[in-house]
Amino acid sequence: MIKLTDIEKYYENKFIKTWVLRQINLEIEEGEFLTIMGPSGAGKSTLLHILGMLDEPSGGEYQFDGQEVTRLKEKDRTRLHQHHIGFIFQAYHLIDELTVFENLETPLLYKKVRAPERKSLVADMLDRFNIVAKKDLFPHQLSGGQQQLVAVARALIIRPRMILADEPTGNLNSKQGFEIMDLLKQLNQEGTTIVQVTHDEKKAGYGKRIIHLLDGWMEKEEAGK
Amino acid sequence: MIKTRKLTKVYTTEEVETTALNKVDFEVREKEFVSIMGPSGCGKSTLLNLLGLLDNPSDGEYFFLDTEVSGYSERQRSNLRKHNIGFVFQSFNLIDELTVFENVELPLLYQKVGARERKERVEAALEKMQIMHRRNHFPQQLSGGQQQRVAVARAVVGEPKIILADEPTGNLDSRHGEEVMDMLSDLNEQGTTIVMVTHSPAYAEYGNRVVHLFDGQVVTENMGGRFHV
Amino acid sequence: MFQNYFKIALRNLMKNRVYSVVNILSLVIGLVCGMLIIVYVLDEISYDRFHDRAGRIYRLGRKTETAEQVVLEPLSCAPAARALMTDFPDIENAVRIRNTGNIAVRYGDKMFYEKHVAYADAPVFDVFTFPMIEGDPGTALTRPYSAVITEDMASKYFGIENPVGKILRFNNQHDYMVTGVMQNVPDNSHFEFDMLCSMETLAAQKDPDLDNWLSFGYFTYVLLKENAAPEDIQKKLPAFVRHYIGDDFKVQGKSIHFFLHPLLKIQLYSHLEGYPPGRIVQVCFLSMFALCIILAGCMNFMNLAVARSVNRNREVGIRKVIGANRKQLMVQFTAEAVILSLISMVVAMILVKWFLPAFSTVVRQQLTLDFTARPELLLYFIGLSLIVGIVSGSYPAFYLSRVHPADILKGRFTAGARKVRLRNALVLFQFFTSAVFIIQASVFGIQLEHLRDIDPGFDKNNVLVVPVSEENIRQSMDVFKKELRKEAGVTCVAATSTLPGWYIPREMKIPQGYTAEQMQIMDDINVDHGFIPAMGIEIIAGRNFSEDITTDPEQSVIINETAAQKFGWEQPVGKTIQYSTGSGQFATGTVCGVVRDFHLASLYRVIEPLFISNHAGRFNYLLVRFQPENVEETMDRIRHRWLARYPDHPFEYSFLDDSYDYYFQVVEKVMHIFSYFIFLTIFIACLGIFALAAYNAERRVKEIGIRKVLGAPSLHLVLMLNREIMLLVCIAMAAAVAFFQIPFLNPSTVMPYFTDFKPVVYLKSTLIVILMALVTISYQSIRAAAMNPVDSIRIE
Repeated sequence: MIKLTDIEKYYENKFIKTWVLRQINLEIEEGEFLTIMGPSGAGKSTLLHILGMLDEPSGGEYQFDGQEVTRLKEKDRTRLHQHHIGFIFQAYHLIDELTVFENLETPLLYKKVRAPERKSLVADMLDRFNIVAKKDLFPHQLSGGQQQLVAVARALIIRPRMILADEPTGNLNSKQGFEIMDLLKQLNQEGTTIVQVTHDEKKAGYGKRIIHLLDGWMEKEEAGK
Repeated sequence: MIKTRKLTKVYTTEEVETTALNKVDFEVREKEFVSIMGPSGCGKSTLLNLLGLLDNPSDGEYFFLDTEVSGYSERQRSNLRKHNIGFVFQSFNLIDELTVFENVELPLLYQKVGARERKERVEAALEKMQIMHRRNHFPQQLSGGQQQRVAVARAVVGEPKIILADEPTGNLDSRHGEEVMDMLSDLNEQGTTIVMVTHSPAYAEYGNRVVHLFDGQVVTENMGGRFHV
Repeated sequence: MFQNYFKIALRNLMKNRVYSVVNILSLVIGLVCGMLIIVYVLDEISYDRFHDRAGRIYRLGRKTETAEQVVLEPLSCAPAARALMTDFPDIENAVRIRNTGNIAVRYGDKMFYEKHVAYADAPVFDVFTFPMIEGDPGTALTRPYSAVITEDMASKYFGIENPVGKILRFNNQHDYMVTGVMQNVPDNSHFEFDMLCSMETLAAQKDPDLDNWLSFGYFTYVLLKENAAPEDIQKKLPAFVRHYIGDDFKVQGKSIHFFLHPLLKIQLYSHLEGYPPGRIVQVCFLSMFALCIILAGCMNFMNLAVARSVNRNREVGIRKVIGANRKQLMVQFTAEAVILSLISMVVAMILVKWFLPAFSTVVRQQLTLDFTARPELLLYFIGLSLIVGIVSGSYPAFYLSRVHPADILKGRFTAGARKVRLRNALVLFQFFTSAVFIIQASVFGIQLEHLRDIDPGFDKNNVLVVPVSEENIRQSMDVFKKELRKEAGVTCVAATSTLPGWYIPREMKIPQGYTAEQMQIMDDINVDHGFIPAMGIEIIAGRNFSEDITTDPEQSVIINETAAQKFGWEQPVGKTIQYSTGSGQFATGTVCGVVRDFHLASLYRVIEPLFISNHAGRFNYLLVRFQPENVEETMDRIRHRWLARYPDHPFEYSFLDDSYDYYFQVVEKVMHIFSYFIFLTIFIACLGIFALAAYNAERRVKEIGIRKVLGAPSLHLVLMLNREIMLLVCIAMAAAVAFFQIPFLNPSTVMPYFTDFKPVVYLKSTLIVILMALVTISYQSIRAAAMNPVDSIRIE
């Protein structure tokens, strides 16, 4: 599904060039569960952002479903990731001014889904995650674990083919963390491709394949447990 | 030198209460190099904030140099901080519009040190951190490792009693990370007390004691250090 | 979709209450100005539109060319109307209107002076739309001594009785029968009459002016046939003039032309000598001013929105991640601005209602906020608010939607230096305009004080003015004056044709040494011998008119210094001046005295050469100087005297200093309102700085945190944050001062009697501006400096 060839990323800051990713070659099959690991500053998040089409690589090629992504216009890229990719962040990144219901609804608004259909999709999602009672609460009224749950729900509501998760359990306590990981595992079993970034060895083990980044290079690859 | 007793910090936002630190007893003696470890969200940063007098605890006591300071006002804390504590951050936190020299000079300015003495002390600190040759450059012109060195220089120029470092190697690649850790190690050998927060077990071992935090509480404490296998 | 935007917009508003209030204020101020101007302009434009045939009605005007100047007047001669109708097939109808002076009108025991009485031809109701409540418009004014009165007049004289058929007595001489009652003339019309009398009356009285082609005291309005072109008629008018008037005016050195002036343009565009000028200048000026304020308000909004955008960056990043494209984001932020604008509109409407009366006085128009009478007003208001919202929201929307999601998620912000410069420029401009206005206002203030102290050249205090309009009163004026002089408390009595401070007639004269082609225009008044001493005017050569010298009224003339200087007369006494007697003839007057210049017209007008004649019987006002003590008793005695001699005429009077100061008071009021405007501009400028300070604080949050951690005292932080802004303010002040050094822009070089700007003015203004800036900034900086460093450094 995804093919990265010689992907590179650097930041230029008037005087100095800071390399973040160097010659990344990676193929991801549909339905995989991939973990990206590495110390801070290794470039993991950047790689994830590039995969999610939120950032452009400085060099190399990114093929999604055989289509060259880097040369697409912003509008087309947005449409691609709008339909196929869902994001989960360490800091949840819910919109504070919207209720749970409205947060879940927003991606559908951007896809121009009609109101009745929207309502039913959101209702389904609330049900599935057992948070119907919380639908009119604001993010700051929920615990960390619940917020992440909502974030996952939001990522799923557009029925993406792939979910990119950046330290999804980073801000959660141990119990909540494992709940989320179990959920991801279940999604993967249902067919969703998952790419996650993490520090944590235990969480990394959920994936079938683990790649390690160090200083922007792909160091090694191994199988998960 | 530092002692906390049942230190607690609770964050309340509208409806939810998060206990970041839960009755933590913590102690640091002079000339120690203590590493605090733990997963994200376990409260390490909160602890460091409190130790650094950047925030007030919700409950419990904090003895800094045998004085109970948990109820201090902002101005008192600022004063104490100015003269006794040096900070090193993960994201360096240098001021982009000032040169290296001016950045390192800043704490002395606020301590109202005279111009000539300032110059001497700044240059000494820069020499120590081996960044003297870049003293007129701006932070954006330096690499991550160099920026962190400037930050450390800034932290020590005021001759603080203790240095608090929050993931000092977090934004650095492995080579620079080791350089910074070596520097800290040297400082400690020369007598500076250091408390550091880190993710990495490897770097934690530069210290002579490692404290583990989990969900806001001290879990284990072991004597780490290079003596450990 | 809009629901989502609406909800976010409102919640954001509530979250940042202080900034929301500032934003709303900026917009409200702009909207209030805009709305006031809309109400005003709509009113002006609507003048005389209510006439059904307004588009076809034209007023005849007269253009007089002399060697020196060209004068336009709305006047015509009586016979022109009929001649136009016969000679021009395109002219369907013509109506003459002639204003009368004050008339004492009486019914039973009700007696009042009426100022707004006019004679009109019967077709006036065909040409114009003045709906009649009682009576038949077709026949109301066909017979002599008929009058149609307005509703207000009807209730004033007749209460609830039907006036039709009743008799009103005019000036105790003539009886007029009321033949109809018409609706009050609406405010938005340049007509102002309370009673219309039939023109036939003048015919019955054998008024010589009716056939006189050389006497121009009438207004003539013509109604063109449908599809007739006024240009066609205009082309034939010179021939028309030549045919009927010929060269009779050439004698006086004047060349006469007629022109047609559309009715609908009269209110705005007439620039006619001696009549209130067209309002178009005022309309344009006020519109521009409102536009400036609206723009300033929008700019503030933009500044503040962009400053606060740092807070919204995260939200924008997230929205992009979950699928928003740039256009959708732009719509969202523009919608927020529009919502804010609509909220501001509601507040603005309340304020407009409150300010309208004061504003009406300034523009000298009766303005009302009546949505039932003018439903389109609401539409205009909403339209204005929408435009303001969209304009204000455009730049922030553009700016915010450019956020790069990856940058935000990593915590990397791109603060563009270019944008800072734009923002600085805006604030600079706002302060510059404020400074200019403050300086200007201070100078105006000083000017007013100064003017108050200018010696008008005569003593206007303690003088009573009694209008005398009727022939019989005028005839017995001399006797009455003698009686008055004997009264205790009365110092002097005089009579004059023209009241100082009001409209002064100007006529062409031929002074000695000039030829007929070199006629000179002079102010022209007619007074009795008591005028000059009563007014305390100084005679610097020759003598005053004297009762004892019987030739004075026919032959003597007094001029002022300016006249003597202009004509180059070192020995003015004894020189002659020829003047027109009105029917193409000229008479000669001999200068018997010269007076020191005095301000006959208001203080704003340069003193012109003055021609004072002494003809008997042509006085319109009685002037009585009284002693300041026991004024009430003196007034009683004078009233008593008056009623004893003229029992059928009400005693009406005013005070000279009031009427002379009338324009002065208007100017004062304008100044007052002007000072409001100044306050507004300063306020907006301060709001602008508030935004800039907010931006500074936000942008440097991290830096502030670091410095605090390192031990910086709060004061130092405050100073540091605002150094930039204070520099801008100082530059703006310097620019403003420089502005007034340009001679072209400095009013003192352009207007007469304007004092020059003193340095103290600049100093005071500078201090005021700087103080305001400081006060505004302090809120931001104090807040920033007091922040807990943890919040800004975010050790995570």
